[in-house]
Amino acid sequence: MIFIISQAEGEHSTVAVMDWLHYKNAHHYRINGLDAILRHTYLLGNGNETRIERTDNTDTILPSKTDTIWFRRWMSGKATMFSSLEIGGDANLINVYNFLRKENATIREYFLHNLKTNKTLGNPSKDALNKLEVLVAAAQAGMDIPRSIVTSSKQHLLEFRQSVPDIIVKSLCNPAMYSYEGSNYVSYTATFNEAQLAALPATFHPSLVQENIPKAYELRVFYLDGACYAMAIFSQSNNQTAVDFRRYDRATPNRNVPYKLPAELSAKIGRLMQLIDLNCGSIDIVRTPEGKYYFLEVNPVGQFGMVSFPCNYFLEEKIADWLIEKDQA
Amino acid sequence: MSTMPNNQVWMLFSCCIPVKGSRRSLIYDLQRGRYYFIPNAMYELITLYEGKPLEEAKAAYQHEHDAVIDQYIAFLFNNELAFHTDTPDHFPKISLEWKSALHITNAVIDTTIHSNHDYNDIITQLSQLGCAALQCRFYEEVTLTAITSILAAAKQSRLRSVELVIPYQQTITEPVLDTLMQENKRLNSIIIHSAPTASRQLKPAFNATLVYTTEVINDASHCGFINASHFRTNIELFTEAQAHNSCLNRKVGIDVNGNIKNCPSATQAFGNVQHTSLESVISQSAFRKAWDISKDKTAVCKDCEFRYMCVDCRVFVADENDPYSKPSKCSYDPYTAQWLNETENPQSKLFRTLETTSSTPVTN
Ligand code: SF4
Repeated sequence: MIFIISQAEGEHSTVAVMDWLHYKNAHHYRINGLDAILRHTYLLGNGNETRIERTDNTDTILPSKTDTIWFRRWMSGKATMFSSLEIGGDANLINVYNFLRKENATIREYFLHNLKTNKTLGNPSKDALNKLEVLVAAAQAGMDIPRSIVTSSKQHLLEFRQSVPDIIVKSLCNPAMYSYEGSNYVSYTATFNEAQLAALPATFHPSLVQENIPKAYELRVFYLDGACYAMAIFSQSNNQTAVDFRRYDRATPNRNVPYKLPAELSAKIGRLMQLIDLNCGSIDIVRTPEGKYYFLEVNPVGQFGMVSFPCNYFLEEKIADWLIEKDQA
Repeated sequence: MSTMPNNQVWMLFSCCIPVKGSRRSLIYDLQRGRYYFIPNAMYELITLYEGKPLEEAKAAYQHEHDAVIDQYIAFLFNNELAFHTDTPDHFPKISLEWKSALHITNAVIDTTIHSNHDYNDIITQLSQLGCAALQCRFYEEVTLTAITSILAAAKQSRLRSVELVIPYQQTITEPVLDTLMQENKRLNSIIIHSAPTASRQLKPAFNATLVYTTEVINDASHCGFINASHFRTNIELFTEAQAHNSCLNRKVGIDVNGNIKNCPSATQAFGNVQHTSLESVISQSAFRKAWDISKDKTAVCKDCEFRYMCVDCRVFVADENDPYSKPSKCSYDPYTAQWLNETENPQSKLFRTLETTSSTPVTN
């Protein structure tokens, strides 16, 4: 049976793949990460197999029956929270929060451990990739990467900047999100000007600083077990021919069109995905005006719908076919 | 543009597709949902010389039309329909293949006070077939209880959107409708016909629209109108219309008497839903025949530049004995590029502008 692990919210892509499985009469079962934690009872095996029962008694998962797995996502929801006042201050709140996170993580690990199979699309142990490891792996796979340092020292940053004049700073992991007084904020990749640099203190929180790669256009590549499906993204501000781009600005979306990767670049992507042990994911690449390709990052749970739809690639069906083929093998 | 290095060629973004009509052509911007009128000469330039050096095109016309060619190219760039590249091979055409994982994508159920539909059963069957969108048309009075029970069935199904068409009734007030929309995320359109006054409201909080129309919709003849305001420029319709009927493909209709049809307004019935399953009907080749009557096979439409954005009608057609004849409720003539009935044509003024400027492309 095909077993799909996803999250409840905002997962049109999961539903679209399930539509294809349904259409092709493939038996499948979906579970959302949050439900696996909050709405299941784990009857630990005592010489026999562990059973995972829904708390509403509607279903029981026998891990040995989950032959083929699609690990799409885990969860969008948060661990239970308490108000800091009830718990005696922020330090306690942080401790309790971290404790609950680890409790949940233990259930997640155990759940996934039970399902372990060699027929899995996606890699549950890689849903939070280490950006730095991946950059170095991409270079090993033969791709060009932006020159990068992680530093907390102004001195070292200034030295780096002597050979790399145009720099950006970005987060080491996924962007942070905050709400403050009714507005939402998200951390973003920023450029650095002279004045901002000069204003930096001698030491700061360790930051990833990279060479800013000039873009002719960007590529978003969906990788599925050896095959690459690429899309070129022409962003407004980079379309040199748009005389009047400011007039359209927000109203006019970027141009997203199918792209044929040079064979050499596809091969390098394949090598990278092998190195980091992923059989699917979304890869971001920049093509410079001079025609060089720079690897930026891999998103192991990327939104392939945003490539599939504009390029008419039917990636949802291709994923369904992959799962069916493995399940029947 | 003149500063472009020699190895750069111009290309259309592959989501911008030229379509030739009898008198003029269109560029469909499938991504931004817009379209642009262009002369047929420009269509020819694009299909023959896209991805090649501009010089080659100019030379091919013996340099007699250099100024016009420059003007055409400027039009493409000013509207962000084209870009320059030195690697045209990296930019393939978009695939025009259409397919769907849903056996049925949409359904229409008609109801009068004499109808005797088992909505629960019908919705269960539709859900099994993957049906994403359902329209329920009530020609006569309907109780709130009946509506609520339909929506409750929809909640348990794979239906993603429901549209209600109901007559104006004093008891069904706007707060009542708001509550319905709030409690049923899938209910995203309500049309109230026979209303004392017309209005149209977006309800962003419920992701829905509420329309009041003074039109009296009391039978299945109120359909099949073709006019420019119904055109939709997007990749789903464009690809589906290549080989399929843009109205009837993967549709099922149930009329007021429970007859299963391609559309409730159609005359031919394929059994009654009380004793025939929808699945057995939609697998019949006779039923599916209408699905493949594409615009390219339809008289007149096949020469019309709107053919991949126009939602067809196979019920109200010019010649009842010819399933391939043009929709009768369309007043557009692609051979003259004119709408005979100007009121159906919000852009008539623009079309006339085009008539008087033979070489200048005109946008909508
Ligand atoms: S001629 Fe045919 S394709 Fe053209 S607008 Fe009329 S119905 Fe649509």
